[in-house]
Amino acid sequence: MQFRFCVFLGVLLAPLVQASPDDDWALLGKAAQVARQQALSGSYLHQIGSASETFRIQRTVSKGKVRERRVSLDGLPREIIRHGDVLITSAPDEHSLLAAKISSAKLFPAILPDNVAMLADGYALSRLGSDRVASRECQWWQLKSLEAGQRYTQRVCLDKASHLPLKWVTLNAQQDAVELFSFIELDDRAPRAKVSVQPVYPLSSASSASAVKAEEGVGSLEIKGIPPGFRLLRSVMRKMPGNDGAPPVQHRVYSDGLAVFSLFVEYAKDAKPAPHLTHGPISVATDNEGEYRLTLVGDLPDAGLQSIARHLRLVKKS
Amino acid sequence: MSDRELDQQLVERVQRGEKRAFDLLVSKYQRRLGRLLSRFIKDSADIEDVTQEAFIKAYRALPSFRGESAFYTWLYRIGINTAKNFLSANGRRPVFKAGVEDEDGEVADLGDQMPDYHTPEADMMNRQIVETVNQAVNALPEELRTAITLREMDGLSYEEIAQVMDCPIGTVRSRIFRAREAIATQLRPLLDTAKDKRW
Amino acid sequence: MKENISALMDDALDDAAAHAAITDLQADKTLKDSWDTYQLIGDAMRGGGGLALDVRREVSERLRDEPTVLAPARRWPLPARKLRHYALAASLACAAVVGWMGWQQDESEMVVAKASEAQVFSPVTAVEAPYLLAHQEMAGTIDSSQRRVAYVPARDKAAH
Repeated sequence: MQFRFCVFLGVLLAPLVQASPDDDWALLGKAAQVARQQALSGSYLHQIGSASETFRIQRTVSKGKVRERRVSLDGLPREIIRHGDVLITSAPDEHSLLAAKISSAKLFPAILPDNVAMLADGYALSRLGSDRVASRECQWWQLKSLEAGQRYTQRVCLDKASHLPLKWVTLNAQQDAVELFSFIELDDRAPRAKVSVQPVYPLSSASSASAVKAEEGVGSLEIKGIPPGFRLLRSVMRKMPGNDGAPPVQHRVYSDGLAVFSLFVEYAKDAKPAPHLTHGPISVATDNEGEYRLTLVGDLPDAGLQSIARHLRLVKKS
Repeated sequence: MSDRELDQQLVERVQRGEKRAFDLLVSKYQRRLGRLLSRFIKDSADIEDVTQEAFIKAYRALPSFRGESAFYTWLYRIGINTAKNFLSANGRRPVFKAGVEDEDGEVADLGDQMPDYHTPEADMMNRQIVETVNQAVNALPEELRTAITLREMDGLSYEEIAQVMDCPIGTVRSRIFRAREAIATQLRPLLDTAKDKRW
Repeated sequence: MKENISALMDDALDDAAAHAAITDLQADKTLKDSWDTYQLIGDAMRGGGGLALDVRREVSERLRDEPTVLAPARRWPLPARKLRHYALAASLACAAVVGWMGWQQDESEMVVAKASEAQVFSPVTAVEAPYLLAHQEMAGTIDSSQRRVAYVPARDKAAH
């Protein structure tokens, strides 16, 4: 299914010339910090294609420790809780839990990475026009890939007073918005009541990714050809969801700070059929390397992910 | 904040995606809307269905509600149109019963036009609610009874009640709250039973 | 807290307090029950019959299946000037697409979605898309040090 937004641009949005790029990056760094740490309460819209949902978010910060709770206001019931460095997804049933996991992939307004300096390797930062979101004045900023068409363009509207991201739009090469987050109501004072970090659903916890011990086989392979700007975030040998009986798969996660993709390496004979499913901005690419199958899933344009897949090589560790 | 402003605030919340705010409007207006519809429709089950339908239509139409009229005026218009559509779809003619929502809370003389507007169960429930509320009001200490009566039956504001009762506004607020809680305590067992029965 | 709900009904709160009371009301079932009962008491005292009518549950259940309506945040009544906010109006026909109009300085901005096309997300299952699911489990934007805990229903765990 192809989700598309049609974008009407009424005015030409030529980036304005900035006197001091360093100041701009510093401001973006401030925005990243505020997006994670600012006490707030409000609700926001999340839209992918024709699907949209709203969430209520409440956040307090005490001695540097974040207590944050976001609850879906429509669609499947679910909640996503941050308590310090723990992220909890909670839902009444497994189907809703899947939705909770999807919703926890991007925790608006905290979409910028901690270290925004890493974005300078892959993106050009420019300032666009002013706007008004959730009754607040904000300034649009654009992060455009230095490699045309290989990454999505990101636009974020930062509150002129606090620099909190109020609206976030992901655009493809045709300038269609493939994903959108926007506050519809916001109070950036601390919520009056303490934010509860207890899940409301009477559920028991389990580890989401059952990592298993690395063993001979795909685990002894080295990956070459990862594009510049991308860094390895995590690497595990894991069982694939819904297929506990199959051999473990090597799962690596790479990010350039905004785009994140997973690389799965497994024996081709064990691999499932190449998936065709896409979810909003997420693309899937596959490539065979000898007896191994590589599967890439990530929020990159299809062309960008295919290109990465083509350039990857597997080398046996000596 | 006036009553109209309160409705506006609730409507704005619904328009911002807060579905639950709509529940508050339903709770506030369902009986008034039902009474209006009973002027056109005789069967109590039909009245309930059309009331439901009117609220759903209102919810869908809310993005275009611009607050030029009061919310309830707008809701009533939707209710009347929904009733008309219902009647024409069912090949019926509206029955106009101007005197149905009588002032004393009792069921008026229904006459031949509306044999089954009030089912015996709904009728009894209605009477029980009125009786329970009346008894609870009469059992209130005088200052609470006066405050809640001036508010609910005479529609006086807290300022006006404070003047009439010669007390601070804060006291009026507290008395009305205590009165409501006392009445609610008497009413809840009845409502809980009704909830189980789902008449 | 309940006293605020009582005062809210009587228009005796200022804007900020009313705003807070409505927020509390939506979050707290006890307060919502009080709101419902106080409204019923008012109707009963004013007389008029029809007190047995109760469609709250039915309407609420049906609303669950309705797309969320979103409309422009606006002053009330609508100011003569054009709205600058974007709006998601669930009635305009722009089949299968969502239009988004951004960054305009002087013209109104509007997001439009065809009502029948407006959906909430439906998650895929592990069977349908194991790679996608595995990716989403691991690829959150939270720092890599974040520990993730997923909750599954107790009965399902017991079944395994």
